[in-house]
Amino acid sequence: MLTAEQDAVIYAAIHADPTIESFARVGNDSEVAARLNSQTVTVYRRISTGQVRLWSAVRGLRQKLEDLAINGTNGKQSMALVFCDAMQSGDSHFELLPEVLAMIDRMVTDGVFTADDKANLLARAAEQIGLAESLVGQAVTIDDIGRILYVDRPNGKIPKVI
Amino acid sequence: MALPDYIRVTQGTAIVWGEAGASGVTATCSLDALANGAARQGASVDLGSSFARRYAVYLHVETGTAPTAGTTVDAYLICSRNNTDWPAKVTGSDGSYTLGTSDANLKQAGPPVISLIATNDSNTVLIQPPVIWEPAGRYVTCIIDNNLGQAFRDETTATDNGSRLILVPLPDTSEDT
Repeated sequence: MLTAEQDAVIYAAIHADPTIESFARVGNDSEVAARLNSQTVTVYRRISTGQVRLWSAVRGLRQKLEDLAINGTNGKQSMALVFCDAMQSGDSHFELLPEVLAMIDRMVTDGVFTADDKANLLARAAEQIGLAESLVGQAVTIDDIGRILYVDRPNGKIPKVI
Repeated sequence: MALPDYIRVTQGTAIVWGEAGASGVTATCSLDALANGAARQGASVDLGSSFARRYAVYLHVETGTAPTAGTTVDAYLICSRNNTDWPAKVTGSDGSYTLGTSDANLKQAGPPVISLIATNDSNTVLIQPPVIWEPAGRYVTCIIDNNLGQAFRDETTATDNGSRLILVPLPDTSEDT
């Protein structure tokens, strides 16, 4: 069950999208839930370390990263080590935390990666999730929608369209 | 005095909850445009000082947008001995019904007497086959809980809405041949 705070976030999301709001207005809660759970949002949450190794090989970046990990300057060494550690670790996945995504952008700015290198890496990590999951970390149910929209429905009824 | 040869069942006059003023309605339970996840309670009905032991309960629900097949509308019948002391926080008057945290109010009403299992039909009066119910008190009211994922049909004229909960007394009669 969602918390009151999560309910408020979903309520705002429903009213921020004219199409979803139009379904809510006529009481079509199943379609509201379906739209909020439809996998339309691309996120980059994690990538397998195997994909990182493959990416570095395909893009010809492995040696470059290892050199920077030894001799890099101006923070490049630290950032290169992050990628080298990921490739060499026994972990199955590498978390693409916001700090890591910022590092990738910085590596592009510094000319270590090209924009295509970045796009290739992120494409390997891309996941499609629902708007609800992207906002509150989980899908919503039809029951959730009925509860969340109750405030818009005086006496539990959908408002008459005049 | 001779013993009766047969005990037969007759069909009495129906008690019909629905929109006030709608065709056939005898007790108000305003069901037009009832939202998904919301419930409605009806006006109480006096079954009389002597009432039938068994009643047939019919549930009719008029859909608007077609619901997903298999979703339900659940109807509860609540009895009171004096039309004042009502369980499950019903009031005996037509109005919105607060389900309560985790549906606690509704759970106090006990299991539903009848559940309509929806088919995927829009703008249609869906009818569940009747069940037999025995009242536990003279006064009775209903709760209708919409779990269709869709609102009931929102008629331009609310009294055109075909949603009804129907209670038909089935009194026993004795017969001598």
